[in-house]
Amino acid sequence: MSVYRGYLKIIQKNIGVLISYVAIFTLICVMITNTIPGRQIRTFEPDRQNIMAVDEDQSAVSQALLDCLAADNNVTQSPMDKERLSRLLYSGNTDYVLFIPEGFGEKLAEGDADQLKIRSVREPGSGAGYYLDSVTENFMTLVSALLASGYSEEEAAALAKNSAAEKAEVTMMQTDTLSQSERPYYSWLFVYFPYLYLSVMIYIISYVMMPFSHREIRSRIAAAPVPPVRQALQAIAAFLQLFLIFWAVTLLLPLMTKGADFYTSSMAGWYLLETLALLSVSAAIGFLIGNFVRSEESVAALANIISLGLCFLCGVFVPLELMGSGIVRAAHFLPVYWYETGVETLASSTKLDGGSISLLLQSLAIQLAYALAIVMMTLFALKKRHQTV
Amino acid sequence: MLQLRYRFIQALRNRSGIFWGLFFPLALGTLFYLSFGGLGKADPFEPVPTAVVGEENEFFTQMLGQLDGGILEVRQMDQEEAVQALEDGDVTGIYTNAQEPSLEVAGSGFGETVLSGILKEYMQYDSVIRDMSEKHPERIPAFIEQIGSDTRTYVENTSLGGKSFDETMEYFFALIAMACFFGCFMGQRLGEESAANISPLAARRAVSPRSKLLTVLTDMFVGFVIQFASVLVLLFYLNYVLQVHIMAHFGEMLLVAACGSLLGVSAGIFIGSMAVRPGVKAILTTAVPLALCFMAGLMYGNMKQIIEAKAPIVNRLNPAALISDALYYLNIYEDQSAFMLRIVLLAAWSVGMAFLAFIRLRRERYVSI
Repeated sequence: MSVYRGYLKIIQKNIGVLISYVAIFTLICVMITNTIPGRQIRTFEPDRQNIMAVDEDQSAVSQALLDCLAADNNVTQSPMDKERLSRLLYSGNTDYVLFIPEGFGEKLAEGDADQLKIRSVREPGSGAGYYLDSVTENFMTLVSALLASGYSEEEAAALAKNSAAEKAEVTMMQTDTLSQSERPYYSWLFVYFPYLYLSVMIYIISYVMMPFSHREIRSRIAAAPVPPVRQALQAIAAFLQLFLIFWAVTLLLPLMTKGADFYTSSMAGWYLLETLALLSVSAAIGFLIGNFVRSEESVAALANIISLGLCFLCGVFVPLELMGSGIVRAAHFLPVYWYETGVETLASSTKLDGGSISLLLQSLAIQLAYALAIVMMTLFALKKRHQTV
Repeated sequence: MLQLRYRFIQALRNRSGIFWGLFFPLALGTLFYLSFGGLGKADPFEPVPTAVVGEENEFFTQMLGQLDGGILEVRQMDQEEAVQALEDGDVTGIYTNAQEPSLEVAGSGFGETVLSGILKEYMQYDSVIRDMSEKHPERIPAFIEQIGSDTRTYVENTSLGGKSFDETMEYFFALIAMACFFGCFMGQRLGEESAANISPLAARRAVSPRSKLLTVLTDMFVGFVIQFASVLVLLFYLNYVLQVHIMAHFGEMLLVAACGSLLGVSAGIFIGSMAVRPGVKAILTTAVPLALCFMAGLMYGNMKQIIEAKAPIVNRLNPAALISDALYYLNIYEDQSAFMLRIVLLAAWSVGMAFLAFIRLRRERYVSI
């Protein structure tokens, strides 16, 4: 078992560096997952926006408007401070800013609201901002109509405010499909696994395989009495040990990301299969790179290009539905796309039907086929290289 | 001058430094451009598709008719068709247009919130008319006439000085920060070639009669110029080739690029001159800048905002976040004071790191190499 022990020695020598890479990429993965809002229970709850209100009017109408908005949103009153409000909008702490100028209520009661308008500032490009503009407009239209029909300012404001307390009857359809806000929290962690697996596998395998790229070492190994097949099997045993430890560590990550319910989920088995398939693809890519790379700088370059490239193109960092159709079509030729498809199917289903299982099996088969193809390609290239030793 | 010229030639032959400082950011920028094809270019508000079953309530029908084509996309269906459409995700909700209208949804998102808000608005009008019919029935005709004829707008959308924000810009700002940081690869080689205990070349340079101060300054100048030029190439590529408009204020952009490049190269020189294992240097020059850029929004666009909400001090200390923030305030919100604060902090980082690198490389005596 000299070859097996040899590989373990190399791994041991690089263990500090390898653990550092695992820690860094794991931290990135966990941090992204922990920023995603927690899962909602399957009842309807409206999206609450954060609104900053600058009310310089302080009239019955302005107060009624803010009370109406506060029923479904988080409204905070603030003095006028352009710089602070800019920073709050930019940092995402505020979604919408409302300025109610002094005298607005009075002008509205006189029917002269054209002279003085409420001003809103939306987060640039925000759809919620458009919607809140619409809510504000509708409220003011209601108040204006009440004033025109003979109510006083205070009466109109009170009636509009009381009517805003009405609750809409909304029922939730129980389906087997989960929406984005209902999918299990741990599923988000699995979405980001390709970045972790690809980066770590490429670094680990390349660092271990790099010494073997030297011609003198290859020559000595070629002259060794251990048959090549036995060498290969012992090498596989050493790497399998490493891969399984890494895989087991990643399966503990749901505990760090509020996803402890993963372990009792009926889908856990399928998630395990998907991660194993992803591991095989990542290991195959690492095997390809590790056999031909000669310096640590090259490892870093290839690891970053491949992991970031595949993750951006296959919907890991940017959802596939937001990407161009050409890119999505091209992504079909990449193995990570099929992993994401499998995880998406698992995350959006409460139970699996025939169609879902078929999709999952397809995803697994394609990933394993890619892994096998990459390994065969590498072995072929290695054979060509060894012929010139 | 001769040493400057030859040092430039040596540095330009550093393929690793040129790849990381120039070609990798260009490749990643192109990848971002290809990936974000559907983001940021669509209308900020898409009409919410909704199914309507029945036509019993005339007022509700009228209200939906007015909203159709604007905030809503109304599709009249029968019950079975509507349920199937909701299950398939073709519609966001089903309005049952009865005397008491109701809404059925399949999730809790923004579209569902809009539909719920519209139903609530109808309930509001209904409540007002019921109240009016009990207390002041004579006011109802005037009320309904005013509702029907009021075309005034009461809300005016304005800005605090910001331009329209394409959310993909955060990724590009983080990319520019990363390009500045990856000057540390160039700097690492320069540092290794200046520390006599690290490389034979550095040992030979150390025993030359040339002033060590000039040697160190030459190395830093060469690294800075090459990295600064690489960042400029990236900026021009993003702005003119990929049409990602980020060069609104050219002078200030140069200042940001210069500070970032100096920081990256100086950090690289400092790391390169350290007597540690190559693996440790690789982590310091690759993984640490990547982690800092991740916190500035390289992989997850909202990360910087999330950190700003929970621990803003981290963004003030993270040089990648400072670069990204400076670019944001320059291109989007045009807030001079916020921009200047970031530039001052960035300049402090850059000068501090350059000073550390200089201290590391200054005249050194060795008992043994």
